[in-house]
Order: sequence, then structure tokens, then C-alpha cells
Amino acid sequence: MAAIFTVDPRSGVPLYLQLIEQVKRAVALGTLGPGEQLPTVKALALDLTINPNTVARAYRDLEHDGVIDTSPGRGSFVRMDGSVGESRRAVDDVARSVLGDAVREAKTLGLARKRAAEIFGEQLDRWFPAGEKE
Amino acid sequence: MTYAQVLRLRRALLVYGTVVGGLFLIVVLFGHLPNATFDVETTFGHHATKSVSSINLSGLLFFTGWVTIIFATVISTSLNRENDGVEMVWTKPIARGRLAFWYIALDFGAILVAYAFAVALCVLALASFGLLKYVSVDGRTIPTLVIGLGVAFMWYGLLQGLSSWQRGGRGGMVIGLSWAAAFVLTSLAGATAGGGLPLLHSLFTALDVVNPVAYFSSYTLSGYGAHASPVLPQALAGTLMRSVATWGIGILGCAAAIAGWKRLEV
Amino acid sequence: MSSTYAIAIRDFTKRYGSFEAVSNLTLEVEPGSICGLLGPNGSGKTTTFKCLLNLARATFGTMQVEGAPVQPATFEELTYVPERSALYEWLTLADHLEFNRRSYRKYDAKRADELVNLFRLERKKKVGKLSKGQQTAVALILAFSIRPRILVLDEPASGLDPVFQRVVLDLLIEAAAGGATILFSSHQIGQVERAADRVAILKNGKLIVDGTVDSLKGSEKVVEAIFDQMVPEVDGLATDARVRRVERSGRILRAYVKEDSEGIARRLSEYAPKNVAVMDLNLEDIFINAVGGEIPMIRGGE
Repeated sequence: MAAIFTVDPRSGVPLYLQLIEQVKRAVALGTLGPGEQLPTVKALALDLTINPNTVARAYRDLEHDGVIDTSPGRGSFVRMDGSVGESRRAVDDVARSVLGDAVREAKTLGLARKRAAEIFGEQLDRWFPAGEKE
Repeated sequence: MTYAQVLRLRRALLVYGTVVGGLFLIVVLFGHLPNATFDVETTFGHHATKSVSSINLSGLLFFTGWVTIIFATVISTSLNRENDGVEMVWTKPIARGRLAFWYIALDFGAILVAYAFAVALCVLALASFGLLKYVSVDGRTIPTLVIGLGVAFMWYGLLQGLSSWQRGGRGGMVIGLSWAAAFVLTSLAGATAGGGLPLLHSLFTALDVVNPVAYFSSYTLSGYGAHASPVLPQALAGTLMRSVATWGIGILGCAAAIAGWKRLEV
Repeated sequence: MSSTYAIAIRDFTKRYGSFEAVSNLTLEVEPGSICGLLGPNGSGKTTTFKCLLNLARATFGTMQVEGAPVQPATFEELTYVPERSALYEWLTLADHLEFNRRSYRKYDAKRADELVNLFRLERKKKVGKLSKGQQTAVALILAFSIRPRILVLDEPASGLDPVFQRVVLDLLIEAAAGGATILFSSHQIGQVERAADRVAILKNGKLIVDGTVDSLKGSEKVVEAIFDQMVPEVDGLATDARVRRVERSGRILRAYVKEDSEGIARRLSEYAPKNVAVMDLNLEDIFINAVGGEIPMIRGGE
């Protein structure tokens, strides 16, 4: 179970945010299926060797975002709803984060907005070839 | 929470028992050799007889007293021994003063055990030579017992009081210096007793008030009751005064040791 | 939310004669959290622990554990692992465990056994004959075997190999997961970064950084400006209260800021750089910037 999540303590991004993103990504990709149980706070903290309060906070936020459900005594589970809204929101969050990083990186490299958009278009063409649906 | 000290004392008593027991064994073995002859002498010099008509118990208690005094001084720096790494005992759920008190109580118990053990060995040794029936008791027996233990406790208290607040590891040095100082002082007091150097003699006898050896040397022991001691002040005459002095100083020394240890900062 | 801090140090000052080892330190540790105390050697970390635990007396200030000054009874729930070994070298591990069994009400023999097996230690060997790492393991076993509510550790894994350090960290995390409060000092910034909720950095006895790891990472940033020509003089940048340190090399100017990185970025933009970027720092960078004012900078040839 632990192999699904990795976090980088040395990153400038707070660990709990990294973890939230990891879980959402797993849900979006289907690595964590609906109704599947997440590791306990203690187990995950030990596996990742991070503070248990960090894990607890991530789980709380995930519950607040509607991605997981926590019942005392039983543990934390990915929500069963599987409704399009939940998973799409999860996916959107992940994509937003990834693309946001990419744009920021492009800007740091000194690209102008127009040039960045051009290159982005090139990549869209590359990964969504004309023939493919959606 | 005094477990470490219990183990320490156990080890000390074992060593003591082995050494003293070994000595006795040698004496007994030699004594039982076919051609052995021996004189039984008490320590009280001119009152002794050289025949085996009586063996004064107080003489034996003088010996056991000294052996116990040695033991008492060796174990006396038990608080100082904790001072290197004192976090171990100072982060336990027991108050420092209470812990120090129990250390001292345990030490005292060990001193009593050492004394009893030495007496028992004497009895056994005498028994092996069939001399027990000659043992006699007189007016000096009780004083020798009480002051012997008193001196052991007094010296213990002085050493605890001097060492408990010092950095760890200093205990041995304090013990060694105290032995040297005690004997030197007693000799000086005895040497100036003739009357030629009254001022110095007064000084030395005054200092001898806190000198354990002065109370248990042959200078003093021959003067119970009637005689004053050449090495102690006139005021400290008689068994009662000397008992009060030795035991009292012992208690004061222990109290100072506890107070000093409580105030220590690491 | 408990209104009592597990550990509350307020206005703590410790003087040795005329030398002030710690000045006006205020540090509050929430129950169930892990607080890492960082600082160069001699910055006052050990002094703080000693005064907290009554091993030494504070010159000024209050130190409280669970709302009250430390008393003997506190040590039923609090264990201390000092930096230098305080074990009895002439006793065995078994003796030390027995010592604990007799001293504490909450001694857990099963837990002690688990830990002895985890560290693969011999019970009958004299502690003085063990390696430094094994001695640390003994100290940790003794500390954890009474299931304390509060743990205070001074450099718990110093001089130990990385595998061992990870084991120590796991023990701390496990204890915290069980609700324990942990205050520890360490030179291993990586450890603190992973395990601590909160970080406090001491330098020369003064608190110079105090905050949660997350908020520190959020506010401590480096603003990097790249110029076309040589870096211009920026008035008052180095003395700006928001800036910890300034670095200039060729056409690059870096300002390590403790807060308001956006504001500093805007200031630098006024000097018309080619590019201004705000970048994250990890805890090690934050520490070095806060503390390493006098670190010699080794430069390659120009």
C-alpha cells in the first residue's frame, strides 16, 4: 500500500499538501478504487517516515474535499459514490496543479506568454492527435 | 529507584567479605598448623596479660571496628558516584532529597552488615581454636562497640558531606586525602601532648573534634571514663560525649551531603 | 483543543556568571506534537533541556510541563534521553531494565522486550562494553519502555549510521502516533524536516526562527533576480527586516527572505532585471540562512 505514495520532505511544498495531491492522483488514476481502504494514520506516517499529524491533516482535508470518508474505529476509505462530479473534481485538481507547475516553470525560463501558448499547443497536438476522441 | 545503589553495595560487601573472610581463613589455617603458638594480646597495652586466661571482647571489637571503618569510608562517596551522568537518577519520579536519604540509609545498613560479619568471623575463628570460653566482657565492651560504629558513621558522614556536591569521580581522592589527614592530625596531637607546645596541642586537639581517628585510636580508647584522651579536647571526655560527638557529626555530615546534592546543578 | 501546552517555556534566561547562555526564550509545544530544536553547537539547546527538567536552575523565566513546574511525579510520564550517556557502564542491559521496572509504575516489559529484539542487543553484556550506537539504543529502550506521554531527547541519533537514524525516527513517529509529545534537538535537519510539526532555531542562546515547518516553508523563500549587466546596488536590501541574507554573484542577485517574498520581488523588479523568480527553500537552506551568517563562502575561480 505504501508504494503508492511518496513525498519529498525537502521540497518547499508542505508535506500534507503533497500527500493530498498523491491521494487525489491515485483516485483519479484508479490506483485507489472506490471503497478501498487507506492506510491508517500511524501506518502511513511510519511508512513515509513523516509526522502523524501531517497525515492526519491530509486525511481531514481529503474528507472535507469529499474524496474520502473516515469512520472512527474502522478507518479511512475512498468514497463509494464514484459520481462523475467527485472524481472529475479530483482529476481537475491534479491536472490544475501539474499544469500550473509547468506554466510557472516556463515563465521562470523566461518564455513570453505567447511563446508558452505556442509550445503548449504543440504538446497538445502531440498527445491528442487529430484522430483521437476527446 | 535505589536499585543501582543496592547492586553497588552488594558488590562492595562481596569484595569486603572475600577479603576479610580470606584473612580470617589464613589466620585460622596458620593457627591450626601443628607447631603454631600465639600470644593473645589485647590492644590496651599495659593492661594486657600474655596468657590465655581471658580474651577481652573489646579488643576484638576494636579490630572489627577498624575493619568496618575502612569499609564505611570506601562506600562513603555513593552520592558523588552518581554525579557523572546524574541525569539517570534525577529524572526519576523521586525527589532528590528523598533519594539521597535512601542511599545513605542503605549504606548504613551495609555498614552494620559489615560489622556483624566481622564479629561473626571473629567468633568463628575463636571457636575453631576452642577459645570462645575465654572471652570476657567488661566496661569497655559497650563503648568500643558504640564508638566504633560511631566513628565509622562519622567518617562516612564527613566524606559524604565533602564529596556529594563535587564533580563525579572526585570521591576516591577525597577518601584518600581524608585517611592521610586523619592519621597525620592524630599523630601531631599525640606528639604535642607532652606539655611543651601547649598552643599547638590545643589547636590540634580542637581540630581533632572532627577527626574520626582521634576517637578510635589507642590514645583515646585507653582512657574511657576516668582518663582524658591526649588527642581530644578535655570537654570530650567519656563515652557519652564521644558517642554524641561521633554519631552527631555523622548525622550532620549526611545532612550536609543531602543539602549539597540537592542544590547541585549539572 | 487543550489550552495547556505540554511544554511551556516562557522568557527563559540562563546565565553562568556574566555569560548568558540562553536569552529570553519562549517556546510552547502543543500536546501530541513533535517540536524540533535546531541550532549550532553551544547555542543553548542542552542548557534549555537541563533547566526544563530541573537539572539546572533557570536564572529567569518559567518552565512548565503540562501546566506545572517539573516535579518528581512528572517523571512518571516524561523521559529524558541526554546527549551524553548517563548509563551505568558497569551494569548490564538487564540490570538497567530491572532498574526501570522498579522505578516506574508504567514500565511495559513486553514493549522493552520488543525493542531489545529490534535492536538485537545482548542483555547480559555490560553497557560499558557496547558501542556508542548500542548505548544510544539502550537509552532509547529505557525511555520508550515506560510509554511516556512526553519525550525530551537531546541529539538522539548523533554519530549513528543512517539505518539506525531511521529506526530512531520511526520510534519517535510511532510514539507521536500514540499521542506522545516530543521535544528533540538534532543536527540532522532531514530528520526534523520529516518528523517535526514545529521547528525552533537557536543561535547564541536566542530564538531566531520559530514556526511550523509548513508555515516556514511558506514564508522563507529565496528571491532570485537575473540582470543583463552586473548586479546593481540595491539600497537597504541587506538591512531590510524581511531579508535574512543577500548573495550576489556576477549577474545574479539572491535575497533570502523570511517573509513577504512577493514584496521583495516587487522591489527588485524596480531595478529592471531580466527575470525575477521566487523559489522554495527546504529546511536545511532555511537553517543555514538563519544561522550561518559567518559561514565562509568557498568560491571557485572567477
